[in-house]
Amino acid sequence: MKFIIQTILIAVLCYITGQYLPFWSLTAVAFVVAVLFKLKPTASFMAGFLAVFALWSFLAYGIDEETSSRLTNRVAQVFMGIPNTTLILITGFIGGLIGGFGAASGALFIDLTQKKRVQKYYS
Amino acid sequence: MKLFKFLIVVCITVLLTYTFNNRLVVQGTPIPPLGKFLDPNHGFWQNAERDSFPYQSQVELTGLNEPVAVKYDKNGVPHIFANNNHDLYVAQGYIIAQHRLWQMEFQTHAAAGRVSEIIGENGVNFDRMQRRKGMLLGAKATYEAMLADEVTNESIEAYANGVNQYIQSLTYKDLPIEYKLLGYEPEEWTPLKSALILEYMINNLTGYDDDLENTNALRLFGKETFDFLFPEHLPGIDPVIPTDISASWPFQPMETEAPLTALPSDKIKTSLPKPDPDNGSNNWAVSGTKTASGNAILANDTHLGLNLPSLWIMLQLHAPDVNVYGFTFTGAAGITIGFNDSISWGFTNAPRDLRDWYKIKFKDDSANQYWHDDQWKNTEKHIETIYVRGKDPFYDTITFTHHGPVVYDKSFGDEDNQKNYALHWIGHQPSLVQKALLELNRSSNYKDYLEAIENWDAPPQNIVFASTNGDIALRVQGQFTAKWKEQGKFLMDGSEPKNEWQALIPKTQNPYQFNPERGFVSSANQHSVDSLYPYWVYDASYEYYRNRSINQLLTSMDSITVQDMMEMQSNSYSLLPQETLPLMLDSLSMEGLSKEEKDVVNTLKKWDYNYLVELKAPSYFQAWWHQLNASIWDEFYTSDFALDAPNDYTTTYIIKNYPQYKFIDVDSTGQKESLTYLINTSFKQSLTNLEIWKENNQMDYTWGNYKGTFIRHLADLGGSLAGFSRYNVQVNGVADAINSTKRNHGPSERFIVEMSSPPKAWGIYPGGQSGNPGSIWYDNMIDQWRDGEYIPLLFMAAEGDNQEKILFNQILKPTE
Repeated sequence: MKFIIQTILIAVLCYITGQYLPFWSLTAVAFVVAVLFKLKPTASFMAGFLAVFALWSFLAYGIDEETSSRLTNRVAQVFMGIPNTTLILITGFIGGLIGGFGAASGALFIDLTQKKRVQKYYS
Repeated sequence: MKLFKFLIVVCITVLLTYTFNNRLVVQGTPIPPLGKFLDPNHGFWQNAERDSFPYQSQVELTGLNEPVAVKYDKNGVPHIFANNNHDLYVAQGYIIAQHRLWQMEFQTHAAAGRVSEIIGENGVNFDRMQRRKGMLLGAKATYEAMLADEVTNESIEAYANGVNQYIQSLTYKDLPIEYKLLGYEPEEWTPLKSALILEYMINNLTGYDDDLENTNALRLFGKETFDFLFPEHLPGIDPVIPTDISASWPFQPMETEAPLTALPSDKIKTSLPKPDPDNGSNNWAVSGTKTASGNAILANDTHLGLNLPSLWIMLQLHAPDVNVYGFTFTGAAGITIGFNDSISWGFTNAPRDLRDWYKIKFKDDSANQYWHDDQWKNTEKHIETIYVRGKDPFYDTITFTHHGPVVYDKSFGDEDNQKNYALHWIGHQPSLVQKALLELNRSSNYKDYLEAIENWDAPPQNIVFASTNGDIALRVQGQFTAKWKEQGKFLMDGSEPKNEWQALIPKTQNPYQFNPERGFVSSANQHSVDSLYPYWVYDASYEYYRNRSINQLLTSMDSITVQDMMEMQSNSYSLLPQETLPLMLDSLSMEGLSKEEKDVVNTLKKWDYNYLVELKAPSYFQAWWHQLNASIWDEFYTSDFALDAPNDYTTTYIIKNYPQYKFIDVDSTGQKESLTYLINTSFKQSLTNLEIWKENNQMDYTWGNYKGTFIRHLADLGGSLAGFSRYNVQVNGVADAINSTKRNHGPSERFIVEMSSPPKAWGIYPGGQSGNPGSIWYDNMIDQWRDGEYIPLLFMAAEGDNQEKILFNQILKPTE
């Protein structure tokens, strides 16, 4: 449950801050949320990755749809002619990596400050 | 352990974030900052446009006196309505930047020799060449002249203000996609850049010469052979302004004195890259006596490199003293080619050798002094700093003599570094064409036109004119230099003062026609005049085919309609095969030809000399002609020195009239080859070449494929931005046809205007109004351009008119 909430929260907060701040702001957002949720690092990474992957893929997909793929077609060619869907997924993947590592760092950070983990594997 | 893990992951996170925020170069391939670039909120996705105009409907601009209305029609053409000229040009600057910011900055960087700042060390040689040629020197001289003219200065200042306010309004998210891809940001626009854009065109149009190639040919073959291979006049040439026999040139020419000294005997291994010698255009105007409606019609299409974003942008500019519509350059104030309520005008390049080379003798290696007029004179040295992306700056010392910059010297130019050649070029002189254009925009009759173009100096142009009151005219206008016979055709001795340009030709002595009896005027970069003109005029890149096609057609036509003119601009007939192919076919021995080869002969026999994309005949002919030329002029192609082979027209003349000429023998073989032999062997060889082409390109050699016209994005280097370019555009025509299309070159706009009241106009260009590859107006006109179609140009009389044709309104307001 915590995993899902963290994922959703990262996605929502990244969506909001992303409107105003450069992309690297999502590292900070994922970090802070992860600190609050105290998931295991791997789980935290997955949550951060999934959140931003979904968010960026979804946003990119929306723009692609609304603009009849005109620019996606051209830029996909610049990326060695990959299909548009792949470009959308790469967009998600790059965002996901940032979100994932941000969240993993947060989890490891809070882990450092706490002597002993009380939680079970997944809660 | 935990700490260690934490540190590792934090490091990865920071590194990843940093990497994704910065441009990388991996094995020479630049990769955009991936995170920034792919971020859907700020990256390239934000450049994707919906089907509507992405511009803000209300914009506040400081420096405006009153609000300006901008109305966009369905072709994306902005119609700008201002209440005074100052506001008009502020608005023009803002609107052009809004459409084409990246392009206008990139072109001025290229002109100034600054592309290394963007693309890195691969640009250094180009930048050095630009600076050594004196591009910046010329632009600065032009800018000084602009400053000195109140109206021009005010216009380009206002324009710069508009551009800068657009730049200042941008955040990363709004930047044109090229900045995001290449990872840099726009700098401030200065009025000097308006001069740089002009210099860019001056270089395109006057930057070609064969002086060094001529020097080599003269040394290698001797004067008699040189004159035979490179004749200045040949039978059949049809000059822009033929001598009027009844009243030949009514003026006293300026005097010049030739030196007695000999030419330098240098031989040059490599000459520097030059602009395409086919940079040129067609223009003509027909008087009402030859048109169906009784109104004059003017047509103009300009042949330049085919790029995206397009060189041209269309615009209407309306203020109390001006209402003008047409094509213009991004960076120039006003309209360059177009029409207003009363007149229309257009251009073709008027080629004349205005670029001369002087051999410099330095006193010693320091190059501090050079020999001139029997004494040592001091040079001036400029150290050019070329900033190179990702590397230390490159410093290039350029030595200046009074002739101009020493372009070729021990560190640059020819492989043989003992050569010191200074360039004297019209491109170093101030140009007042911006002033002339602003006045042309406001001209209302022939007299105004003459006054406006009185300031036209460089690049020299054939300026065609038509007016609603029925006048047509054409003037070969520019600041020409009076030269003694053969001055500057070859490298000259820089120590002899008589080798220098001695006198300017007064503009009143420039050739012109006004309402000529034949009922039309035309030009297509051919000889401006015949040999009866009192001055010696010369150029290495005259046009020999299109111009005669135009004159033949216009002479034969009557009751001309706009439709006829449209068809004429797309005319893909070439006189070259008409004048050579029958002879080639007649010399071909059918004995021993295979069935396939005989089929080719039959295809060629049936061909009507139209270069249509679906045909193979044009490919057969072009391949054969090319191969035949390579065999005849093998002495040129295999030389160790820089040489240009004789042009097609001269080649045709020689093979028709002097088939036994010594050059026809192929040097590399022991036996003596006859022309017939070469025609036969080159035929077979050309078919082999075509098969190899087919194999390599994996497609059939129909003319459209074989020619392979493409429209290249300015930053697309060898296909690196292929998605932003258009490849394999199946467009009819050939360089020598009126529809003058080549691989990456052709009609960069087509324009036709009928001088009714008000005028009615049609136009098209191979691109679109927007510079944004994510816009529907980026390349939307290419298909119509390819197919010879036009869009009717919406010429609005007043701001409130034609509302049904306006898709979007934008208001530029003064800041409160």
